[in-house]
Amino acid sequence: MGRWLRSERGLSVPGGMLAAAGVAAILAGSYVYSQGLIRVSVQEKRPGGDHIRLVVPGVVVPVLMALVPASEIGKHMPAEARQHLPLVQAAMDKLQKLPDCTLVEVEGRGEQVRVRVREGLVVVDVNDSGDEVHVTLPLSSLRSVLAKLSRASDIIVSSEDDGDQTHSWRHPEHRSDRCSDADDREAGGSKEAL
Amino acid sequence: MKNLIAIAGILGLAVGAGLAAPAGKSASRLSSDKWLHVRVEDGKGEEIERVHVNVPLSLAEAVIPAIQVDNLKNGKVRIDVHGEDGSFKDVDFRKILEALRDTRDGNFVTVEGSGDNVRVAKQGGYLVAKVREGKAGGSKVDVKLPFEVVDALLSGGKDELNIAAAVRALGEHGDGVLVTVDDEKSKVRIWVDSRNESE
Repeated sequence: MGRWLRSERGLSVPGGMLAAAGVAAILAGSYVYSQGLIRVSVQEKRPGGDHIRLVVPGVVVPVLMALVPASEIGKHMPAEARQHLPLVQAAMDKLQKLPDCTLVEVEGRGEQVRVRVREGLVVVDVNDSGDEVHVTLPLSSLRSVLAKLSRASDIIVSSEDDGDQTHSWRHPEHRSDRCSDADDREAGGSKEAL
Repeated sequence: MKNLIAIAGILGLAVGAGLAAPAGKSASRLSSDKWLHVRVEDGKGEEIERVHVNVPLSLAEAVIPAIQVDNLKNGKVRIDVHGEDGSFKDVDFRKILEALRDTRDGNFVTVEGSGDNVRVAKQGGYLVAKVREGKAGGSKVDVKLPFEVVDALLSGGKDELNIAAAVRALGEHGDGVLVTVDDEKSKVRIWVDSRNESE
């Protein structure tokens, strides 16, 4: 085994490839870890109630968002959501810099709601007479979703300005800094499609 | 042997690089930021409902100008002084505050309405307002605001309160209780300190 991995002048080709694969795997794993995990847990309290658990690496969110055309999101985005997007974006910038804290805590008869920030994650716990819900979201994932929504909102606004809701092309100089590279690629794709 | 050490070193660096930035942790946390706390207790006994809100002032400062709803726009809230009952239409708050700023501590302005009493005073750089609704058992409202905050609040146009400027001024001021409301059914407390959790 040792001889297979090493040649007289150092590492053999398979040994080098194995080491490179190991480094790549560790880097990939570290990146996935750095993006955090999205956890959703819903427990119905009625007898025989369902318990739904979902754990997804946060890193898949930007990938999935890149696959959905911004113009499609824009078409289905309610006006209220567009209106409040700048508000959420302004909050997001500050939320990412917050220390661990409880932002909102509501305790009523038979219900509890808690919204916390823990190590770069937004943690929402809801416990009422019917269900117990726990949601953990990495802020970095929320940020990529917001960037996409912002891009979608810009497209719709520019379409409305042009008086034609079917076109989604925008001048390259009007690119928003909020858009990710993936968004730009997607925008390029939709431009070509047109 | 050297190659094995090199591989171990590369792997170690890779692990270190990954662990150095876990789950969106930021290098600059706003731990020294001032926090606005709101505590509301509604009801009594087993029916009581509690709401605690803890917001860093920097977050409020960033978010408030982005809110565009009803009377709150661009960080300023428009007050309808000629509202339903028009109870404030004859009270010029700006003039009261200007008069207070130029007076010595302890000089009260008292406004007595039908059933409600409002006392406004200047105490050690603070605007102190006490509202007592009705007679015994009515609601009590105490407000204690630094004058810098009041100035910022009134820095908008007529019939406007500049909330964004007031929040900014609050951040530059010390800790303290701003508002307490106490009535038969509910209690409200709003204060500012450097702790990120309420008491």
